[in-house]
Amino acid sequence: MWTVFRRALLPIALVAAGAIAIVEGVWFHPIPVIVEKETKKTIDVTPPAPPGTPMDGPSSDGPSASPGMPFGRQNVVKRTVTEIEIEPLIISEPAATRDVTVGGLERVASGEHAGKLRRTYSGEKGPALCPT
Amino acid sequence: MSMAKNRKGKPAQFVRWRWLVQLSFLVAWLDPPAWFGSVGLRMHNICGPVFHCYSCPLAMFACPIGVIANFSALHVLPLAAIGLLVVLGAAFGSFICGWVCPFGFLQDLIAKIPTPKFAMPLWAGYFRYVVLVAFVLVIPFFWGESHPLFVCRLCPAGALEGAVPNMVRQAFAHQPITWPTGLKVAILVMIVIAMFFTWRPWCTLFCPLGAIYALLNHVSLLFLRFHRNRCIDCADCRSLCVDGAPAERRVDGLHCLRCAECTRCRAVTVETVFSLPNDTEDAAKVVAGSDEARS
Repeated sequence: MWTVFRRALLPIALVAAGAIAIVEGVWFHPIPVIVEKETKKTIDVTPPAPPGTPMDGPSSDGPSASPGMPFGRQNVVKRTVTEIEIEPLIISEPAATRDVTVGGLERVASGEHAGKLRRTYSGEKGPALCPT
Repeated sequence: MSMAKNRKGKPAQFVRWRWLVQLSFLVAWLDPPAWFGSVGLRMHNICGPVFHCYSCPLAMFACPIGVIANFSALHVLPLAAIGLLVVLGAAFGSFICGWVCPFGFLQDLIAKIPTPKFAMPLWAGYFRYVVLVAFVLVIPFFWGESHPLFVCRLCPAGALEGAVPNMVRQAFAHQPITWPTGLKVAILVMIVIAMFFTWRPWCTLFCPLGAIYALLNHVSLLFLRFHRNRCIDCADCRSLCVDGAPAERRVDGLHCLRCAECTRCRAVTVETVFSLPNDTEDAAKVVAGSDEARS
């Protein structure tokens, strides 16, 4: 019996260690990633006054008026700009496993967020196929 | 010799049904709910234990090698994937290769075609560990997933199970076709040709997953035992082993895929670590790891 016990000890220990690794990976292994979200905003842009343009408006302060002041509200232009917001996110290892199968995670090589993991898609649904 | 022939004439019962076990697992890996028009399960957040590309349109689980390689590129340890391989490897070892893997099943089917077969030298099997360390771990870790030698960019299973069906689907849908790289296609062609002329060329020479399971052959709960006292030196085991190796040198070694064909000879049995050795027999130690050149 002691022989059987000795023979069985190592495989049983490996099975137990593997089971613990599975539990740890599925439930206790959070993976921080960053997600880039694009948001569109509409802003008012007033072009700078060309040189020699007289200042407009009722409060004409004469020589004390700053040369950089807008020269008319009718020249305001609306522009749509896209801002990229970096949002940190914590995902589980199974979610990361699913993401890597479609190329949805990458490691940022350089820049402000170098070394961090970045989701390559935004929104709920990612790419359909692995890029390889 | 006649005794050996009588023994060989009565095959071990369970080995006769290996093809059925392989077919049953193949059905499981191919996401049966998807066959009937539904979305299917597609549980790609879970690793499967076999070599089946997750880009396959019918893949049920994620490929463990692909997951390990991608996580290596991300510098993250895939605990669940490694844990799964350790659990199943410590329980069954390379029985996963011989009885469960769909890519191995495909190679078994092609090997049945009556073409001349050549045996590969045993030492060539160590190249699996080069593939595992270099292409699955080191290259992704240092150069990332976009490197041309990243394992998924070379994998023939990915080409056959993922790229080809998706190209066909894109062609029928009149969409731009995404071609795999030339190197990937070349490797696929070479492996498929090799399948006709040698048994399980991918498994015996290149498979990194089989390399992992083979490491656990020596410590698995289920193993093959060679009974030296039952052997009459007839060398029939050479013909029983699909790779042509004699049982006393090959059974349960680092290169054994545990197809269990050698159990057709009663000198080889499948046992568990809980089975007590028979004191009246010379319960020879399983010759493991002694992969000398075949005589």
